[in-house]
Amino acid sequence: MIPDSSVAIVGAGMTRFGYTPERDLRSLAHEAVTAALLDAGLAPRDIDCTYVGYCLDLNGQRCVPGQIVLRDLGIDRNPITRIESACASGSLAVHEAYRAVAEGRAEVALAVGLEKMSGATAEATRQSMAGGADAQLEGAFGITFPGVFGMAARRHMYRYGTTLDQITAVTVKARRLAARNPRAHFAKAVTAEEVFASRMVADPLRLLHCCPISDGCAAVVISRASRASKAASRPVLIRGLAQVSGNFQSLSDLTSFPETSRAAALACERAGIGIDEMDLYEVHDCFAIAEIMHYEDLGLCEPGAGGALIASGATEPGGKFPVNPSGGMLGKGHPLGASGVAQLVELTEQLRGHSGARQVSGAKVGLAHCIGGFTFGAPASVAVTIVSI
Amino acid sequence: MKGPSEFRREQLHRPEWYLEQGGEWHLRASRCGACESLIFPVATVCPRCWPPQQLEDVTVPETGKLLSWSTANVAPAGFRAPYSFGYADMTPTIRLFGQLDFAPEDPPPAPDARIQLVLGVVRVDDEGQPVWAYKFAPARSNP
Repeated sequence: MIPDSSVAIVGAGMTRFGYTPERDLRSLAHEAVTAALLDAGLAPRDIDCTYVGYCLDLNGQRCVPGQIVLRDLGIDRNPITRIESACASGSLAVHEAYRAVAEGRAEVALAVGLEKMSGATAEATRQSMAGGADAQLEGAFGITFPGVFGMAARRHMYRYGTTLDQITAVTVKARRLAARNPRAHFAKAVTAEEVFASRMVADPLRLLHCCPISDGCAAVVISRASRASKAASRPVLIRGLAQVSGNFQSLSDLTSFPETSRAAALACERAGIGIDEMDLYEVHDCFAIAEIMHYEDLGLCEPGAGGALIASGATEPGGKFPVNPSGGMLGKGHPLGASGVAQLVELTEQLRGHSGARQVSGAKVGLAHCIGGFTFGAPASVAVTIVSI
Repeated sequence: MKGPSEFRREQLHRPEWYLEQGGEWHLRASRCGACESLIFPVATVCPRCWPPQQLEDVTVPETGKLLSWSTANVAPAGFRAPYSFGYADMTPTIRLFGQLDFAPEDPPPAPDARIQLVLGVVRVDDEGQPVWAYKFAPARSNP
C-alpha cells in the first residue's frame, strides 16, 4: 500500500512505565487515553474505531480487554479490535489505526498499547512470556527470552568478537537517558560496574542487560492532518510503515534478524526517506545485545560492527544515529503490549521538541522498530514506522 | 537414543514424535519427495514445495551442531533452575531447541560443537511427575 502522507498522529499520551501492583488495567488505560485525547483536542465520542495492543493476559482479562477498559471512558459502540503479536502488539495496533484512516474507514482512529505485568508470580510471568515462542517445541523445553538473547549474545561474541563491555555499554546508555525521562521505569543511571555486579540471568546476560517487568499504557490518536487543525498540538505525519513475519524456511545463525532489514527497507521505500536520514531511532532493546543486532540489521553499520558503534558514542543523542533517547526498554521499561505505541509517543514528542532533557536537537524525522515473538532464530513479527514533522 | 529401563513411553513430551525400535528411540520426521528436505515434527505438507508432495517417513539424525547455548538461572513453572539449553541444527532444515545434558566434568560446549541426542527429564508436569524429552549431550564420536 502506498502510504497516505496526510495521515498523522494528532494526539499522544502515556503513563509512566513502572512496577505498580496497586494500579489496574483500567486506571492505566484511562490515564494514557485521556492524555492522548486532550492532546488531540478530541473527545471520546469522536473515535470511530480503536485498536488495542495487549499481549500477556496475566491479570485475568483474557478476552475483550479494549471494551472492558475503555467502557468507563465513554469509548464504546464503535469497533474495538484487539491486536496481538507479542512485543509488537502495540506497533501493529498503530498500523491498523493508520490503515483505517488511510483507507477511509475512519476519520479518527485510536491505537492503545496496554500491559500489566506486576501482580502475577514470577513463574507465571515467565511461563506466559515463553508463549512468545513455540509452546510445543520450545516452551515445553524451558525456553526463556533472556535465554534466547543470551544465546544470541554468545553467538555474536563468537562470530564477531563483540565484547561484554560493548553489550554493557548499551545498558549504561539506556539507563543514563532513562534518568532524563520522567515516565521511565528507572529514574537512576547505572555504571558498567553495577551492571557486571548484577546477578546472572541467562549466561552471559546479567539482570541489568535485561528489560524490567513493567506496567504501562500508551495511546495515539490518528486522523487526517487536516482534521487536526483544531487540535492543541502539532500533527506528526506517518510517512511509511511495514510489517513482516519471520522467514522460517531459512535458519538464521542468531546474530542477525534479516526481518528487521526487510521491514526497514520497505518502510523507507514507502516513506521515500533513507535509513541514515533519520534524526532518531527507537528500537527494540529488550536485551542489551538486541540493540547491537538492530544497529547492524537496520544498516547503521556493517554486520558485526554494532559493538564498535555503541562504543563510539554514535548512538548517543548528540551522535550521528541517536538510538533510544527515551531510555528504551532497558531504561524506560517494557510493558509488552504498550511498548510499540510508547515508541510513537516518544517520536511524536521529540519531533514537536517537547522532550526536555533528552531532546534530540532539531529532530524532524524518526523511526520506530519493534519485534514481537521469536521462534527458532527468527522474530515472529517485525514492525517499522517512520514519522516526520 | 537409549531409554533407561524404568522409562515408559507416556512419560515423553509428545510421545507421537518418537519411534522405538529394540530399545532405541528415534525422532520421527518427514522427507519431501520433491526437494528432499527433512521436516520435524512429522508434516502433512512441505513448507517449501507446492502443490503438496508425497512425504516419506524418516528419522532425525542422532547428531548435530550446537549453534549456541545459555543457562537459565530463573525458570518458568515446571522447570528447576539452573538448566542450560541451546539450538542444534540436525540437518540443513531441522533445528531443535533442547536442554543440554552435559556432565559436570564435561567442558562447556564451544559454538558449533557436535552434540548427540539423548533422552532425559526436562521438567515436571502439573502433578509433579517427570516429563522426558530429547536432550543434547556431547557427541562421543566424530561423525
